[in-house]
Amino acid sequence: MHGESSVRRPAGYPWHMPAGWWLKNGDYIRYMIREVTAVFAALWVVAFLVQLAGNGRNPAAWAATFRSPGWLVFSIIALAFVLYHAWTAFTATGTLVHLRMGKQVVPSGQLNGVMFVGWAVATIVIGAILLMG
Amino acid sequence: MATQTRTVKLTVTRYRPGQDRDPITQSYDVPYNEDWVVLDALQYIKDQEDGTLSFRWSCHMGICGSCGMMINGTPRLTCAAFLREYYPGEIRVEPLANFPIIRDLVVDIDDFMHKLEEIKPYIIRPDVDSAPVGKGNEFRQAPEQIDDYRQFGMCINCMLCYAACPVYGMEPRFLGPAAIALAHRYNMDSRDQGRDQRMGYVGSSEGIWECTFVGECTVVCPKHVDPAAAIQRTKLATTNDFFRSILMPWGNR
Repeated sequence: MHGESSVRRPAGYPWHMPAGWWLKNGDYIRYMIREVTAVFAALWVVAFLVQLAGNGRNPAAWAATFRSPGWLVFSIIALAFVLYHAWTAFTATGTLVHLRMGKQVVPSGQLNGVMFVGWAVATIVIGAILLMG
Repeated sequence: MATQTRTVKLTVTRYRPGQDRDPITQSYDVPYNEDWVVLDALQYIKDQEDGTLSFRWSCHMGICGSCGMMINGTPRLTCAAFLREYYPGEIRVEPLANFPIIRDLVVDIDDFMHKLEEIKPYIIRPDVDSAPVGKGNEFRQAPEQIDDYRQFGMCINCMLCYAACPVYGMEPRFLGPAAIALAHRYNMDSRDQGRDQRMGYVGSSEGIWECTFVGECTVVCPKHVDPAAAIQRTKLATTNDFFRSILMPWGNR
């Protein structure tokens, strides 16, 4: 169907992806960091849910776990990674979204800015609820 | 006179089926000329030093997309990579990554050509296929409608984006950046009605959903096309379609 000739040439020398491909340039390394930071976000959420599930059975142990230095250190590391991951996601918004207002396309920088403003507003609202609660 | 005596070292991948078990490298000293691009140096080798060296080229002016190779590990058009960018350092020229090598610097592009064909990179208008286009039934576009797809139509099919894409390198079934960018170009064209015909493949797990947004396809594109954006926007559009079909099963897309 695709070839004009019925004679097929021999297969070429096959490509083999090297294991260290991601070390080849800075863009690949930054991509890997972005992906790995998401793993920490997932780990934190899973750990939190597991502890939350134990709340009903043993509230005292649950509270102690949340106050433990290990959990605190892990949470701070995870927070740093989540912030970085969120930054990479929000700065990609302008690439993801093609928005036309009338005849003008909304610049990607403005779309990114909207995401950061939304992030700030959500943080303030959630923080206020937690502090008042 | 001084410039004629200077030389630059080109280390080139050689692979001659039936002679070489694996690809090897061969080095050549080529006269350094500030106006020369890497393609000129390869042509000098072929003309003056080793006529068996094989590589693709055609226009020598960044239009045809034939002369893409890895230069010092980065996918580039050899007609647009000047020797002065690398001089006095050595220049390593390899075939495009992620493709099987047919001979020396020539890679097998059949996979890409088949994928390009599959996404139907042309305007589809079932309503006028049998009617001649003429005065009264032409399809007019406003400038802003052209702007919606113009940059994605600049692709010259040079495949540098495939060579830069680690996803394609690991999973050759992936439809790949240029093919998806071209599908997006036609999907965004206000004259086109072929989106449904393309989305079966483009929206599959071997299409847009294989992409993990590395973004290097956009970085290496010599025509400043943004295939990464095309892929992510198609993901967004497909997701919208999915939720619309659930929330409004009676409505059109």
